Amino acid sequence: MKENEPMLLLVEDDPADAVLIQRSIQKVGIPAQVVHLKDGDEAVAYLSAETSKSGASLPWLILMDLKLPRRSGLEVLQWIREQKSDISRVPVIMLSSSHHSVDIQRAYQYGVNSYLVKPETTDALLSMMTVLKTYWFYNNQNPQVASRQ
Amino acid sequence: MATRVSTATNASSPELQHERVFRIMVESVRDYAIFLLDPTGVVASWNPGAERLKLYTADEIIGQHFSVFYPQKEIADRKPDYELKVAAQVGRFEDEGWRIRKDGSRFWANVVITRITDEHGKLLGFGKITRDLTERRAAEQRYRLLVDSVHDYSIFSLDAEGYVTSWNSGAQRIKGYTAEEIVGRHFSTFYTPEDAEAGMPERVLKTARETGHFEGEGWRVRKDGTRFWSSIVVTPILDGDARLVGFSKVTRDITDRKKLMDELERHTEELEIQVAERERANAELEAFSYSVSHDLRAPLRAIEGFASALREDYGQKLEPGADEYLQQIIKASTRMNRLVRDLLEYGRLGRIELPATRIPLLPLLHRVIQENFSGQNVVPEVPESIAVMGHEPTLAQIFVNLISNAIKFQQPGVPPEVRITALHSSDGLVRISVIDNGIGIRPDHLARLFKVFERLHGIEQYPGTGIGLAIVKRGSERMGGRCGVESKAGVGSTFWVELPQASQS
Repeated sequence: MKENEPMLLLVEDDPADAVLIQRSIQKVGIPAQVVHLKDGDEAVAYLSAETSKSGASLPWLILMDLKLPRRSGLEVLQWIREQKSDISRVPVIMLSSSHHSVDIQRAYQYGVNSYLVKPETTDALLSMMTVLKTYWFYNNQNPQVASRQ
Repeated sequence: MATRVSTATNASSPELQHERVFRIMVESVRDYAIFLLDPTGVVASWNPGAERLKLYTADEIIGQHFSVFYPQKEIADRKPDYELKVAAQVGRFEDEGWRIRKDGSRFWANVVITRITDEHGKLLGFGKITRDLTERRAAEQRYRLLVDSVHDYSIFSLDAEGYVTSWNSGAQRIKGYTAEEIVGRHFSTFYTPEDAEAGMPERVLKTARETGHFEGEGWRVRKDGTRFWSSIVVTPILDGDARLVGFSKVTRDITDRKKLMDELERHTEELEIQVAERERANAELEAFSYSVSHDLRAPLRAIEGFASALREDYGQKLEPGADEYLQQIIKASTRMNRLVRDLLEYGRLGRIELPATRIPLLPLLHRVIQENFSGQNVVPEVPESIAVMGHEPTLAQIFVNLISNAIKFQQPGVPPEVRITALHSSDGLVRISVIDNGIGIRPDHLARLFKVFERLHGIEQYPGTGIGLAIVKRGSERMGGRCGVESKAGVGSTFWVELPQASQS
C-alpha cells in the first residue's frame, strides 16, 4: 500500500461478499487503500477515533452494506451526516442486495450519495467497480481534497 | 230646538252615555250571539250576531224561553234549567254542545252564561254569549280521525309534566296499551329501566322544551315487557300565550330497520377484519419474499463469485476437466438466481397494486427493444396513435418476456424475425400481438403454456425458468386484460395481450 493513497472504507458483514468486493476493487485497480469493517458499531467507532486524532485521515469514500449487525448501514449513515466535523461530508455509497423501493428512498433521505444493488454476476460486479473507480476516484472532486492536498 | 235640548240633556248624563255606547257595541257584534235572559230563562234582548247565528229576528224570539235553542234530548234532560241554576249559583257557566237554529239545523256552540245581579245581589237575569264552533269542531274531528287512523305511528300527547293525555290506535298497536290503560300514566313507563334511571325521559322533555324539538332513536318497552327500537319525535305544545301545555310525541317502531342496520354493521366489521387479515398476510408475504430475495441470493452470489474467481485467478493451474465443472457451477447458480428473481416477480404481481396510467404503445416498445433487444430483428408495426391503460413497468416486463420467447424459440437455420402489431378490438380493448417465425407450438400443448414451471423443451435446448408466460398472464389479467396464443407448428407463433384502450389525450 502506497503512503499517499486515499482510503476506501468497506463496511460489509458477509465474508464472501467482502472477499469478492475486495477482489474486484483490486482487479479494476481502484487506487485506494481498503479498510474493511464488519458491522455498523465498528464503523462508528473507527470513524470517531479517526476524527478525534490530529491530522485525521478521512476516508475518500465509504462503501457500505445496508443490512449490518448491531447498527445498520442507515444508522451509520445518519450518524455520519449528523457529525459537526468534516466527516459529515464524506461520500457514502450504499451497496445492498435489496432493491426494495423503501430502502432506496430512505437511504437517499438520510443523505446517501449513491445507492447500488449488488450485481448477480462477477462480470457485472467488475464493470460496476470500473465505473465506480472512474467516477469517484478520477472525475469527482471530494470536499476533503482541500484539507488533504 | 227642543230635540237639540233633549239630546243635550241625554248626552250630559254619563250613565246614559255609557249604556248607549255599550248597546252600539253589542249591536255591532256579528260573530257572537249576545243576548239577555230574564231570571226564568226567557229571552229579553237580541243582537244581530244572534240573528245571524240562530236565524231568529228579535221580534220572533224575545219573550220565548231559551230552551228553544237546545236539542230535544237535552231539553228532556233539563239541561237548560241546569245551566241557569249553575250560573245563578256560581256566577258563570261554560259549555260546548249542539244547538238548534230556527230552521232546525244544528251547530256546535261554545256557550258562556253569566249571572247578572243588582247592587243588592238580587238576580236580574243572565247574559249569554254563544259562538259557532262547527268549523273548528269539524277540523278537530278530522284531525282526531286522521291521528286515530294512523296505525304505523304511535301518536299521543303528554301534559307539561309528561303524563299521557291522548292515545291513538297506532300507539295501541305498537306499545300494546289501550287508551284506558295508559292515559294518566307517566310516559317514562315506555323507557327501559336503565334509560329511566339515567334520566332520559326528563332530558327528552327538557330538550323539546328548550329547543322546540327532540328527535332520537332508542330502545322502548311494550306493555308485555318486550323491547323495540324506536324513532321518536317530541314537540312542545304551546297555548296562545306561548305557555307550555304539553307535548306531542310520535313514535315509530323501526326494529326491523335497526336489525338490518346492525346486520350491515356486523358484516362491515367482519369484512374489515378480513381485509385487515389479508393485508397482514400480504405484508407478511412481502416481508417473506423480501428476506428470500436478500438471504437466498447472497449465497448464490458467493457461489458464482468464487467459481468465477477460481477460474480467472487459478485457471492456469487447474486440470482441463475442472474448468468445465466450474462453468457448470456458474451456469447453475446464474439459473437459480434468475428463478428466484422471476418467482418473486410472479408473486409480487399477485399482491401489489398496479395503478393504471395511459401508456402510448409505440414509445414503450421502442424503449423495451432498445434496452433489451438492440441489434435484433424486432419490428414494431404499431400506429403512433394507439395507447392502452395499464401499469407501465408490468407491461414492459410482459413485452420483454414475449419478445425474448419469440427470439429464443427459433427454427434451426432460420434467423428470427419478430413483428409487433396492435389493433383496436370490438369491446374497447387493444390487442397487441407478438408474431414470430419460430418453431411454433403443437395445439395440444397450448393450454399448458401459461402455467408456472411449464416447459415444453429441455433446458439445454431452450433455456428459461418456465415463469415468463405465467408472469404475462397474471400481469395482463391484473391490468384488466387477458392474453392468448395462436400457433402453427413449424410456421411460428402469435402471442397476444389485450388491454383496455386509453382515451385520446
